[in-house]
Formats: sequence, structure tokens, C-alpha cells
Amino acid sequence: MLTFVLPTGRVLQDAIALIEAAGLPAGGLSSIGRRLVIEDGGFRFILAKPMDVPMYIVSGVADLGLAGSDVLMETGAPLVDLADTGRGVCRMVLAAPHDQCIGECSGASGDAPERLPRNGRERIGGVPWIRVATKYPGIADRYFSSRGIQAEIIHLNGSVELAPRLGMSECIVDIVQTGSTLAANGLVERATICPVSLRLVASKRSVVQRQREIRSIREAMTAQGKGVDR
Amino acid sequence: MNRIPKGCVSYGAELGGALELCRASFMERFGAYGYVPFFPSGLQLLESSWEMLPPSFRKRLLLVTSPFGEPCCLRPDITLSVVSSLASGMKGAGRPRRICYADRVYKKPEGQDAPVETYQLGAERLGWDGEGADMEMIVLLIGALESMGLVDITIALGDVSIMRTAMNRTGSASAGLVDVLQSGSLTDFLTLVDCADIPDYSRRILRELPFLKGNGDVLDEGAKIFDDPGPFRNLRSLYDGLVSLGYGDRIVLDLGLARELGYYSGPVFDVYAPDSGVPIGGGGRYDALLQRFGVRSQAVGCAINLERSVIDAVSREKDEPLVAWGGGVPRERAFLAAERLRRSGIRFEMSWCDDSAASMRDAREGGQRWWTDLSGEEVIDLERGGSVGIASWSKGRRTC
Repeated sequence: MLTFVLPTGRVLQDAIALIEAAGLPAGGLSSIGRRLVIEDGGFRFILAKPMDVPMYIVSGVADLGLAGSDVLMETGAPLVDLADTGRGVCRMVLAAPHDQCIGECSGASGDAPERLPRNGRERIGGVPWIRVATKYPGIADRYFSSRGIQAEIIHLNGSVELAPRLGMSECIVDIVQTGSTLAANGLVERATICPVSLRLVASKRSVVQRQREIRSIREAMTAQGKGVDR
Repeated sequence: MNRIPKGCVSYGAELGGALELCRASFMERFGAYGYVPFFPSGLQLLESSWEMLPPSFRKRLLLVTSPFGEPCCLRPDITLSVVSSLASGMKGAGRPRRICYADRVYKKPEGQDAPVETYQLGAERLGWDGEGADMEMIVLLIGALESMGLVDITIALGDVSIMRTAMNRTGSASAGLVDVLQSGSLTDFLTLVDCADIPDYSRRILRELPFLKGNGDVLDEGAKIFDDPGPFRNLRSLYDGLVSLGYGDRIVLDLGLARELGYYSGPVFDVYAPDSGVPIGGGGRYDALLQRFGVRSQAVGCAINLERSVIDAVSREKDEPLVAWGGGVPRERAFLAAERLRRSGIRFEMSWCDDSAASMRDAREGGQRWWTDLSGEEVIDLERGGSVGIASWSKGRRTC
């Protein structure tokens, strides 16, 4: 039996569609209810929080799964990223209120750097310092560090867009699909950090031990025209 | 409150016993083939190790300053200490040197919940001695893991010289390609292969190589893709040897196995246990690393990280200890009886309270099932009742 871990929430429907399109037994996934483990036709499907998907795979509980590339980047989990499914496409962005200056980060267009902040947290000994609210502290830290900007990372578990409105932070780092949530909260996209999509991932052990089955699943998923077989 | 730092671990009770069983089994197996124990210092001088460590390792060092002001790191790996120590005494050819070790190593964790310290078992073999040395390392490792009770392991076996041959014509792109492949992102690797300015011949090979895993057939497939069986000869010889020794069901060939090309130089392997999605260890040929120490010779080694899942698997296999009550006879007599148990290979715990009922109650409360009065020859089953002669019990006949 192959154990497949799927992310709950926003991308679950995308994940189920991929399972169906790949010809895997997805009947049990059409009426999940409150179940978190579903067995169907030689497959066990585990439903887990998106951020927990890598842990199920690394610990050996699951053979393979679907996880956002944002989650893979944030957790740094030692697993095998088999394919970009082309689903769940969005982007990781830096966003801030339109009148907020955010240090030396480039604008959304990638143009010239903006001015330094005006508020009390503008500089410490000449070094820019901004507060960033995010669900992705690792990604945010790497992004600002690589630009030499000192950032105070405020780790929130949701509704990140609230933070600048309430004065908790100058900007946010979050994933964006259409940008409407940002706009509704008075935020403007300043820079794209990286594209994000749903990836087919597997444990290193399973890739070795169950190569044939996993390779055929990868081929089935990438052959649907939605997947990106690079 | 007895709190230990996040990522660190103390081993006690059953886990402590299992860890010791692993250590003793490993050292005994390699010791029988002439491997000598080595105990490197806990602090390593940065000036000695920095240049020798791969960049991916450098980022994970835990740095400290010794009380004498010397910049050091906590021992991140034992191979380097062994090689550094042995290489300094090696002058070209000569008798191969063999080392085995069991100790803790410390590294900055790779993931949020990854360990900071792990208990590492390993062996290194330095000096020209032909390709039999590669097989010796794998066979001894499998034997050591079997003696720990880890029979359900898989060894992914590859050869970095195959990847090196594939990269021959890729020029400056090769380092980036290997880094990405090692990171585990096939998606990024294939993107890079497609975008890189490399010959189509190399592109075709690099697109296929990571997917070639399985039995001996993949060597034929690989040779077809390369239009040349040459790069596969060593690996085929090693694989065929292991199969004829009866290890075919434990070995999976993995032609995409990537390691730092500047350090490794031949057959390499990863070891997988059933309860973990990541390798519990690995090893292989690292002549290139040895050369960095100024010695042109052969080097092959292996290391196993005894993570919680491995030790758990071992502890499930161990015997239940016996509680031996010595309170009913003079202590000297009890000790003589206890020595007889020890000589029979029975593991036991002494109980000295005056009252046999209290001793049995304490044993039961401690979750122990078997109890014996050292003045007699019977073992009592505290869980199900009844008793059995100690000779039968020690031979595994435990039905009362």
C-alpha cells in the first residue's frame, strides 16, 4: 500500500483533482467528512495541515504527497521534490501599505530602491530596520538577510494582512493568488519573492524502494497537461 | 524541571540499553576484521577542519571558543577526525589502516525539528587494497546492522563517477547541477538541465539518470543512455558480488545518487530503515577527500546515525530482564548464584529487600514480568502466574 499525504484547506480540491486526473482511486476523497485517513484501492490518503505535509513524509509515515513549494522552502524538509504539478499557482510577495516605505527593497516593478523608512524604527546605527509580519519566518528572514536589511520577523499563523493596518508591522510576506485580499486591506504588492505551486513530493526512502510506482504516478500527474514536466 | 536543549537527547532505560547494544554490535563486528576503536576529541580546531569541510557542512558547524582562546567547533563528523589523524601518519602506500568509532556528533539542524546531536557509528578504511575494500565495508555494515536486529534495511548503491562522467561536458554548470540534485529538488534539477548551456548528449543523460533506480537492469539502461558500459563496470562488479553473497534483496541501485564530486570518488551508498523517510546513514569511496590531506590513496567508510527510530527498532528486539531476589539467602550466596546466571548469559537485576512479596510487587510495578529467588531454580511469571525452571527459561521456553 502506498501512503499519500494531502494538504487540507485551500489546495485540497486541487490535490483531489490531480489524484483523479492521474487515474488514482479518488472515490473515497469525494466525501471526506471528518475523516483524516481514507483507504481506497491500494492507497492510503492522509489529510494533514499544509505545513505538516513534509513531516509525515520525512518521518516515514507517508511515501509521497502534495505540498506547496512555499511549505517546502519554509520547512527545508529533506525530501524529494518530484514534479511541479502546475496547480495551486500563486506567488510569495512582499506587500505594504501604498504610503509605507520599506527600506531598500525594490518596488513591485523591480525598479529603483525606495526611500528608507521615516518612522522611529528607521535605522539602528545606519542599518535599516523594518518589522515584517508573516506565516513564513524562514523565507522572510532569508529574503531580507540576502538584501542586507535588518528585519524583525513577527510570526503570525493567519490574517497576516491585519498587521500593517494595526501598526504591528510595516509590511508582510505572504502568498497571493489574485491580490484582492491585499487590496481589501490597503496593501500593495512591492516585490515578488518567488512563484509558488503545488509539488509532488516523496520520501528519499520511498523513491528508492518504490521507484517504479512513484515514477508512474509522477508521469501520470505530469501527463495531464496541467503538470509541468520540466 | 529537567529540561535539555531542543534537538538534544538523553538515552536512558530501554533506549540506553538499545544504544549500547548497537554500539557493542557495531564495534564487535568491525573489530573482528581488524578495525581499531578511535575516540576523537569533542572540540575540533576550526583551522584544521574548515578547508576540508564541504560548504554544506560549514554552514552547520556549532562554533565555540576553547578556554585557551582557540576557535573551535563541536565535532560535526568523525570521518574528518579519523582521516586527518590517519593521513598525517600515512606516507603513500603501506598497510591499510582500519578504524571504527561510536560517538556523538553535533550540527545545526537542517529542519525545524531535526536533531542537533546524533549518536554516530562508523568505520573507515584507508590505504590501497583494491575494490574488495568497497565490498568489505558494505558487507560488514549489513552484518553489524543485522546483529543489532535491523534486518529490514535497504541500501541504495550508486557511483559518483557515473555522475562525474555525465557532467564531463557540462563545464561550469556541473557544480550547480550537483548542488541542486543533492538538495532533493528534481523539479529544479530538470529545469536547470533544460536551461543550462550544455550539449544535448549531456542533457539527455542528466534527464534520465536520477530516475534509474532498481536492480541490475538499470546498469544496462544506463550503459545504453551513455552509449558506453565503461562508467558502470565498477558498480556492476560490486553489485554482482553483493548479489552472489545473498544481499540482492537489500540492494537497490541508484544511478542518480549524488554527493560532493570533489570529495567522493567511486561507489557510494545510503542506508534506509523502515521507520524513517530519510537515510539513517551511508558511506562510500572518498579518495578525493584523502587527497586533500596530501595522500594519494584509497579511502572507504560508512557511518550510521542512531536516530530515535533506529534505537526504537532495536529496543523492541531486546530480551526482557529478570529480577533476581537475593534477600532470602546470605548475600555471598546470592552473589554466587547471580554469577552463575551471568555466566549463562542471562541479563538480570538484583533485588535485596528482605521480603519476597515486596520484591515481587516492586518488580510488577516496574513493569517487569520475570522474577526468581536466587536460593531456588524457578522463574515466576508475574504477569500470568505460574513458574518455569530457570534452565528452560534461559533457553527461551517461557511458558509456565
